[in-house]
Amino acid sequence: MESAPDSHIPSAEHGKQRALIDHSLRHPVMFFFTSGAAWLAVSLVLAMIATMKAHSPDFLGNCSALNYGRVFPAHLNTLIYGWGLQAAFGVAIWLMARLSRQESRSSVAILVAGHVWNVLVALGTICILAGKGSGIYWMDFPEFIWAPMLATYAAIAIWSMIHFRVRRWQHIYVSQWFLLGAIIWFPWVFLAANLFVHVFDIHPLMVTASAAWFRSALMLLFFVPIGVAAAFYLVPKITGRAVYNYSLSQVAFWLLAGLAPWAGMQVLMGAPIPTFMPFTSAAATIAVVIPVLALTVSLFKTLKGKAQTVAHSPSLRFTVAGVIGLLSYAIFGAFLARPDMIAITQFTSAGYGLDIVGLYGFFSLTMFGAIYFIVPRITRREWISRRMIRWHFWLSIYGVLTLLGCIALFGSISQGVAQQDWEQPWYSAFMATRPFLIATSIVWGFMLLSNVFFLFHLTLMWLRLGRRSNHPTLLTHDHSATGPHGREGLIDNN
Amino acid sequence: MDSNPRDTFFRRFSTFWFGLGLFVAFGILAVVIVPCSVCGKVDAEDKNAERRMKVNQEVNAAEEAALKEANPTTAFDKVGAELLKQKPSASDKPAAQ
Amino acid sequence: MKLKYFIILMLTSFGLPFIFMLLVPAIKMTDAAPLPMGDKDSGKSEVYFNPVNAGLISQGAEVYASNGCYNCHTQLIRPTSLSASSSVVVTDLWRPDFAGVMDDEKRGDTRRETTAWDYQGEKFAQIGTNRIGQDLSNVGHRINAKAKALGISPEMYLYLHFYNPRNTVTKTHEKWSNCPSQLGFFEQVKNSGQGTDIALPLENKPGYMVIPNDQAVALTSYLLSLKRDQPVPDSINYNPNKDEEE
Repeated sequence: MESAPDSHIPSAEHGKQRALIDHSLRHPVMFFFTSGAAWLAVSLVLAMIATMKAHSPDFLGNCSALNYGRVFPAHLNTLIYGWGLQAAFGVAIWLMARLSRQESRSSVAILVAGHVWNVLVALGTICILAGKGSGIYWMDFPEFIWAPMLATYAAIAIWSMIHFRVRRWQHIYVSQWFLLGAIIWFPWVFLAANLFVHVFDIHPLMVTASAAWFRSALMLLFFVPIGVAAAFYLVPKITGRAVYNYSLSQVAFWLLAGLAPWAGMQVLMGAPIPTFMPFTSAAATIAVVIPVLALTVSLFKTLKGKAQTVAHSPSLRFTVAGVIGLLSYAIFGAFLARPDMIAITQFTSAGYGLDIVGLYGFFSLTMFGAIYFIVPRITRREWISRRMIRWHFWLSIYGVLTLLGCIALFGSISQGVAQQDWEQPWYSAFMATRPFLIATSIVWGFMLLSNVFFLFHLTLMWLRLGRRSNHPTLLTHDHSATGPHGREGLIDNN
Repeated sequence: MDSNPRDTFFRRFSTFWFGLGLFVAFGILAVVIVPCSVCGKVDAEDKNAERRMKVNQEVNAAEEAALKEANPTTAFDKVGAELLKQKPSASDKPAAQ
Repeated sequence: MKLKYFIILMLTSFGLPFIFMLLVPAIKMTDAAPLPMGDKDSGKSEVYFNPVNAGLISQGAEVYASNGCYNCHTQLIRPTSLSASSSVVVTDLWRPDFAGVMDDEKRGDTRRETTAWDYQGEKFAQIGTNRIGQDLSNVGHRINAKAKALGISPEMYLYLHFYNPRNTVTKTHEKWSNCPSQLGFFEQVKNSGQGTDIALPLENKPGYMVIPNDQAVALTSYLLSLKRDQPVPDSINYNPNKDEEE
């Protein structure tokens, strides 16, 4: 492996290159962030309705479209395909272009594809609410959506593969491996799962098993690598340090690649499928802690002694919180994959709780970190309000902590233990579940409130109303001349 | 930007098609293997149908054999002739209810 | 690392689980030979285990799926052998009414775990993810029993349940139902003549009645067909009392 040229030494040439790359990508990337954020808003509103319906079915009347069985899948699928995938696209195409030092020549194609993606997600969501969903967890869009979605994905992601191949230097940075991996894994996972579920005429249990495999594979082989790629870019970049032990992250990549595709079927333990499948998946899920731990160690060693920087930089704060979220997701997932824990929590809110720790506690927080970094660079304006960033951050953290503690861990065990008590009528198991359904409403309440600040702030940036300034918006309480807004009374008029 | 010797039309073109091919690699593998492998499956319904058809055939064969011994068609003529020979006769009025 | 080796390693690391966890199990499960009810000695070897669901029941399974019932209900009776220790026990089979019936007139205790043939007639096994509501593997039996106790038909029990799960007719035994009200399954039509026996016995606008639509009828068919406690072939009969059955 060749070592990089002195890329960490800023130069006018490099600065100009970066500006050109940002300029070429400003439309598609900003589109994916704003459109993704809009889907996040939709998903959060649907989440509030769904979680209220879970414990108060007559909330908002009895319109069929708002029944739990429709609004909950609508929430989850907009979170994944509307927000999650679009945020991933925005970050991935920008990051790959930057790391490959390539301007984008296909921004129009990507933008058009992005709009088509929106149409597909909107159509799918309307179908779910109208009672035409497929009824398959995480794949609830009707059958006709997946093929155009895959084609649209190719129209968005293929250019990043080209950027990688024609990159300026032979040297490949950590994040590029993870991005390339994610770009290739998504179509493999998505196409395989949709063929087995919607196209082939196979045993009903194997359709369910393929869908279970898909959920885990999408998380571990797409969302995790994209989030990790962003973290491995932002942490060294913002702290100004080289990444700690480059080879460790390489080893972690291949461990993830080797272990993750075996995971997912532990949720079907006890089903009449070949026994080796759920047990192999459980083992793989537990083993995935190893590469995640290696990546976390690498990042935290890079951050050693830089607590101030983490506290002051919005991007770094969110990224570090996201990395902790990833570690929690992996460890918690491993804990729940133990056969004795599966026996108790298999049919509790543990599954959903874990999914949200991954999708929000890790992935969304990491994407927020990247968005707080990237948007000023493509709009050439700085974020306006430190307060809004802080509220976004802390309310999200409260939500994630409540999720981890109340639902994912204690709630599911409490629910599971009550279910075990076979001598009681089912009503008592339900009454044990009810408090945690209410807690889930509280969690999404926090997330919704938190993202009101984010969405408002992002909209202002999108409207080019950000601060024109040379200094980035940092989360310090400094009112001196070195602070973002300069001395008190001094107006930034550049 | 300064020139990049790796950035050629050929490289972009080949990566585009190779990339798309790579995306669908496992899909193609599945499409080629799975439908052909599951088309020859024998249903439990078919096997149960086999048994029922066997019973059906046994019953039909037994009926055929019975019919050969005593063919109804030969009796029809005889019975028909007997019926034609009989003259209509008065029957008793049924008793008043 | 060269791109070429990267691609090869990616193909291998993904290909192996793809083959062993998806491809091969899918082919083998789909192609599995039909199972005879017993071996040659038992005299049952000519009959093959084939719980058949088709037609309206299959349509009902689709209504179940598209209304997201799997988010609160499961359809899987797990074997007790899954238990990891004496304190962590999978009790699906021990519950009186999840896995079958305890006091069938002819067969006695019919409770059993789910078999691979129990999902025939559906596109995919709707095993579910969460048990906010009960497991529905044998809900057909439960509904029959409750309807009989109330003196109404099982179909009417379900129509009343869909219309308002918290109504006073069907909720004589439980205190609360968390199920959503499926008003989209019903139509309010003019009551011509004597009405129809599938009209719900509810207070209405004068001259109108509430009747279930096709979706409700299909879903009812499906739910009433959920009686997954049929006798199973000897080779997969794990009932400890099986020698007493006959």
